[in-house]
Amino acid sequence: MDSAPLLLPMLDAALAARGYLEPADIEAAAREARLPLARAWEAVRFYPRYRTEPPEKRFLLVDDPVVRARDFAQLWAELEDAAPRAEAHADTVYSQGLEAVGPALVIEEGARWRVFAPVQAADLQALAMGKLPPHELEALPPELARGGGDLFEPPDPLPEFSGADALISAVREAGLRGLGGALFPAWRKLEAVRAEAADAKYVVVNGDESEPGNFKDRWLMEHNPRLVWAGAALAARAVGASEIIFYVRGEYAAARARVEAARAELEASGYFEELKTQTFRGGGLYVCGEESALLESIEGRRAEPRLKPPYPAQAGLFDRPTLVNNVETLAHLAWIAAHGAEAYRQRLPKLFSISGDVARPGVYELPLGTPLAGALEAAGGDPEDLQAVLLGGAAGTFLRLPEAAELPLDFAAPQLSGDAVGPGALVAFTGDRDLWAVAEGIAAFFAHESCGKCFPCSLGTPHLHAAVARRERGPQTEELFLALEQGSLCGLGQAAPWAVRSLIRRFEGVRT
Amino acid sequence: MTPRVSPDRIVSTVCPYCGVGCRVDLYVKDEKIYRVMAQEGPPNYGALCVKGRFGLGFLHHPDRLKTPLIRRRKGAELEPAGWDKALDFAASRLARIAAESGPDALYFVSSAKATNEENYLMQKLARAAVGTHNVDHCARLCHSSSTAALSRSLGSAAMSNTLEEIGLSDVILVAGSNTIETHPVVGARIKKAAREGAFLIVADPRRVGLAEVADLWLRLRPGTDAVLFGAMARHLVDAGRFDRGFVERRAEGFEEWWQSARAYTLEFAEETTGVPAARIREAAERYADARAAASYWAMGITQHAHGTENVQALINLAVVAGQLGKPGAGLNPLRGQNNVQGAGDMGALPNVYPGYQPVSDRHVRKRWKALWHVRQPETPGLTMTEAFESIGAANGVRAVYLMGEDPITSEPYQDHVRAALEKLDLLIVQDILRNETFPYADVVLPAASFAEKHGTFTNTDRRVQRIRPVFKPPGEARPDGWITAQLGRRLAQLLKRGWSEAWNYAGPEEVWEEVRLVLPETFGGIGYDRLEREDLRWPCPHERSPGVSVLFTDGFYTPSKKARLLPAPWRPPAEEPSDEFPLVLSTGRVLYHWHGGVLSRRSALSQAYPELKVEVNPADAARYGVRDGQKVWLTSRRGRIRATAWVTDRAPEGVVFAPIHFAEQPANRLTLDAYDPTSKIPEYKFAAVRLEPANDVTPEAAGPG
Amino acid sequence: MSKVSLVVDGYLVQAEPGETLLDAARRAGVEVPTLCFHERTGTRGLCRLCVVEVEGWGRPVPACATEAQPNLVVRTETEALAALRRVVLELLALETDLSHDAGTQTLLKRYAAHPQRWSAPLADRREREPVHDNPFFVRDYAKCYTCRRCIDACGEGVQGVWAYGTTGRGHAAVPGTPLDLPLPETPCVFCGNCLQVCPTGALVPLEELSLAEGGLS
Repeated sequence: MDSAPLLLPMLDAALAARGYLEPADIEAAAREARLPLARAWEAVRFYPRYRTEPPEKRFLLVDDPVVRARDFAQLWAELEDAAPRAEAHADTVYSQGLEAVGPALVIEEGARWRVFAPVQAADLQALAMGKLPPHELEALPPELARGGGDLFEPPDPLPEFSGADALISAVREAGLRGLGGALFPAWRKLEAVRAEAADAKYVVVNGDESEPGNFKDRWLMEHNPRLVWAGAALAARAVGASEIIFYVRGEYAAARARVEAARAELEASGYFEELKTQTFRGGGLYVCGEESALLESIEGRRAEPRLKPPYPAQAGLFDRPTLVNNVETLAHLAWIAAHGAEAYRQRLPKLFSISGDVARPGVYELPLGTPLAGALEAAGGDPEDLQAVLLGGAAGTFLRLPEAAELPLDFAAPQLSGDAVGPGALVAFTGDRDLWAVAEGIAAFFAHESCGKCFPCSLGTPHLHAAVARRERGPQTEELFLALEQGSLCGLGQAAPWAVRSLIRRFEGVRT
Repeated sequence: MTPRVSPDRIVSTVCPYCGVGCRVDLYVKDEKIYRVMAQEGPPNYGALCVKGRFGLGFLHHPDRLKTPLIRRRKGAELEPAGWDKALDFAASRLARIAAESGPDALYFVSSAKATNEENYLMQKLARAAVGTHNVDHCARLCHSSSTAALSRSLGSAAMSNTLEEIGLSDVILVAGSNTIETHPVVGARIKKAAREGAFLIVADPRRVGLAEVADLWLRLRPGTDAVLFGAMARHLVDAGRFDRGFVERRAEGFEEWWQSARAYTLEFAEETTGVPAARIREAAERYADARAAASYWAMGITQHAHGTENVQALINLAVVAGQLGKPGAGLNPLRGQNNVQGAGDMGALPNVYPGYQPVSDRHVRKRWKALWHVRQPETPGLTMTEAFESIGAANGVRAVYLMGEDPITSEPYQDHVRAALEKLDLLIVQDILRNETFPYADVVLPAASFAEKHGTFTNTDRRVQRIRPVFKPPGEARPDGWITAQLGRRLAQLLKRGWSEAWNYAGPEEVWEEVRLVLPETFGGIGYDRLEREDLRWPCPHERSPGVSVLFTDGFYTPSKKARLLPAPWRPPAEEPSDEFPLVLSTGRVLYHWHGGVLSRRSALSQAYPELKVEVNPADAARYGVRDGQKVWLTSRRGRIRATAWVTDRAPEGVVFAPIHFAEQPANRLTLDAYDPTSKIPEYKFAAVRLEPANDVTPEAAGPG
Repeated sequence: MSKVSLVVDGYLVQAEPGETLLDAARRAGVEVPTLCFHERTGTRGLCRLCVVEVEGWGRPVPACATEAQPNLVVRTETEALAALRRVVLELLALETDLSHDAGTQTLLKRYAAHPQRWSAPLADRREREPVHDNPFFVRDYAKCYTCRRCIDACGEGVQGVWAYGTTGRGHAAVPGTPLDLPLPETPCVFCGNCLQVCPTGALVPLEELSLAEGGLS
């Protein structure tokens, strides 16, 4: 079962060789992975990078909440105009974690992606003349981690494993939650996996950060992967897992390379001892970040969330008990192991991805509970100048300023008003920004990323997009919101209406 | 789901193809079936295979027989006649031959595709109206090895357990059965059971569908099954891993069997079968250690000149391992035809009456004499294979009444069969479609198909099910039962046997009531009214019983109530490969077609698999200069046929597999008349052939269907 | 094993261990609407029509895929649930040709659905051309809403041959053959067990389609 090679890496190897997949490649991969050909074909037709024809050159404008609020429309017009003249196809691609850098362009040739950020209209026009934009970017600039923070440095030496009981109770005392957005108490997951008896258990690191507005995991993977690996190894020992799979977002080549380099180094140094470790290139879709969909993609299937229960802790990867944790969560775990729960409680460090209308966008380590205004000011923003902050990401809500200025950014307080800190993204908007344009980008994003399994989301998200584009509100739209939020199988569909609903309620005078 | 076309009627009946007996709903519009849906209950639980689903087009084919025909003299043409004329002609000719040469000069071939009622009538015709036990049916050619071995060992030849229990087995052993293609609905369920954790052991020389998903595939050489199972059983005893308690309490003959089995060491088995000793050992131990292990088998082990021994070895294994008499276990021959189980139950056999009561038993004969008011002969009749061999000999068979059987295509050594049929004084062919035997007929009686009459079929796991008419029979065609009863009345009068009122039946239900009367322990609780509402199987002794699923929970059906272990010595096949004929020919079936192809090739199924393809191992292909998709000659001492080569490692090296469905290239032109001494089954699975390219155009990939 | 006691729409129900809320509701004589659910193929939990409210649990859960537990208080029909079902049914009817889906049509009536209130279809389902690639049946995906029953029947659930899979994402997802090969070039054995379970009639015997279209075959 799990002794067969995994499907996606084999498809990727063929893809790297040729730039696209021929039938023989897919047949060979299916055979090696011991999967029916139909299954392998499902994956080829699901994950965007698997082309079955020689690829054309593509110019992809990055569509994220910051650029949507600013000059997305003009940039897109420029690109559509320039692309054909450069014999390329113009298209968009969703957030690449570059909100703090600026508008971005991806040039795709064959299997190769090159990212340029920040770009301006003139750069896009120049494409027509065969000129590449300036500022090619592989990894986030390390300076994006602003203001110092304990999570920005790998601990030296790496923390030792002091026993499952000690680690889990430290994590519990520290109050660590799932920092990918779910905010589930970390100790309970550890305990649940630990309690299972099985012939094998896994730890899977969820580095699939694709939530628009968020880039803190990208930063950690690119600049402090050792801390994350340390956390994963400690967790693996605590739960009795024999293998760690570090799932890195498919589009993040630099992150993957650096995560893998850190892995190889740690392995060579003997840090992992008998633990098996693997860096896995993710499928390249937002839904891959949903923990059970992520497991499906490792198993070579469509990344479609599973019905729960059973939960991954009981039946996860290949039906074995699996601990799935976000990159940042494991970084915190490593820190707790190194410094203790007490020290952690004193600092309560949390990484916030802050972007938009602030002077110094970037990744900030701030204490949990910092008021919104404080976070904005730390990033060089002026709360009085701002009308709104998108809190959490696309699966988030618009907070209105100045009303929300004092909202503590912790796990509990935002929930009182129906918001959530989520993974901790703050996208700031000044008074002149068109929030509906941002909401439209978000709605387009959800419709594009819907996996197609459940009916409310696959049918509802495109209609939601159409409604947002028309700036609709009213009882019928509210029904659509409810159908999505209450009916969808997973968080993608459930969260899809949040942003626009908060926009309508807080900014258009419509009561609940 | 609403169909695109609203049906004129939907008729609930049973698929006519295989022994699974899938329950179907046939949607009819303008007198054509346009949709077949599976019923959700047992035995098929909402599933079907391509044949039942899309293969009923033969019902409307122009080759349907619609008029009785008579050939007044040898050499004359067949001319249409009315029913009375044709029946009188047939009866008078039969009576004359019986008067001249005795009743045993007549032979009655019943049909495993006809209903229980019709089979009952056929054997009644032979026994009551004519006074001979010369009756048989095509099980002779397929599971007679099984019935012989099971009857003598356990006292009952039917599946000991049920198909519903597939999910209950921890270990499933499948021997000589390409279940995925021959009993597809069951094959799919076994596959699913394996996916869900059952340990699947497959014994087959070919890489059949189940072998591909088996946990343990024992790729034995053709014809070595007795050695394989013998070695497995011997190992269990040797290693002390057999069910000692079961053997002591519930079996007999251990000592004699053990003496005969001593030679079948794992090493000897490895040498003979080609299967590594370690795998044989593992198979034996898993089978014996399982809480419940079921074995299923079919033609791969029965159709040999020592087929009875092959089955006996499998029976011995089950007894020694104690895998009988509990759910999820058992000895389960997968019966082929839609009513082959029923044909046997109804006594269409030369050595037993209905209910398997031995003809040689005086008390049994007395009972039947009382029922039918006529004396019963003492000597069992000939088997079908013996009967055909006897044609032309001094005391041989001179007349054959053939119902729903195509011996030209289905008997081995086709040239011999042709010669035999030509020597017959009288051949009466009763069928629904023209077939290869048709040109030899002196009388042709057009019969109604399964979809044009009432009656019951019994499937492989003893389930009795009602069939119902969907259409009126075409032209003059009548149900087989009506025809047989008509002949019965006439022959009874002509031969002055019994009273003609014994042949007045209002319909099939009345025939069934007679069966119930005489076989109360088996069928007492099964009546047409209950069959409308409930799912029933035999034995079903009374109206409150649903029928017994798991047999042998208390005793076996032998006189001692114990299972008999019997020696099962291995013998080599009759015709080994030689320099001139270096390859082994094995014959069998494919998914899309059915046996002689009479039904399946007259339906849409033909489009999926239009002509004969033979499986050739790549090494053999290279050796004999054959390419995939190329036309080849397959030649034996008895003839040759032309086929397309499918080069595949499904076939083991040295073995060529030829499907039997293509009358224009009949595999039985190549097979030989070597018979198992006990069951008289032909050795369809082993003959010596050679392979060579036939000159032809560019090959295209041969592939499966 | 002892029974599981719970309350469904006010009725006290004794369910067998392992039964779902759907089973429990049936015991109370309540028919929760379902679409994708199929016992044999194992399909469940994706159409979301059967979602029911369980007191204290937050979001509604799919009755077909949720195990009955002791002391649950379940509501299968509330205004909110009806509104949710109505929206899903309307979008379904808007996007897909349901002319041969009696089951869904009944539900559309039951929930007083008005698909027309949602402007135009956004998917191109209705434009899909029927696929004729074998002698036995036709795949008319204009009628397909990817309930997955056919995929499940062909794969894990029943047949174990995996001749088809789901291709594409979101509302454009549609069953497809590997490498887009014609069905006869896949492991398909034409058992028709997919056709057996298709709720919309997207899978239809060629004989039937020919009859409907005026006797071509």
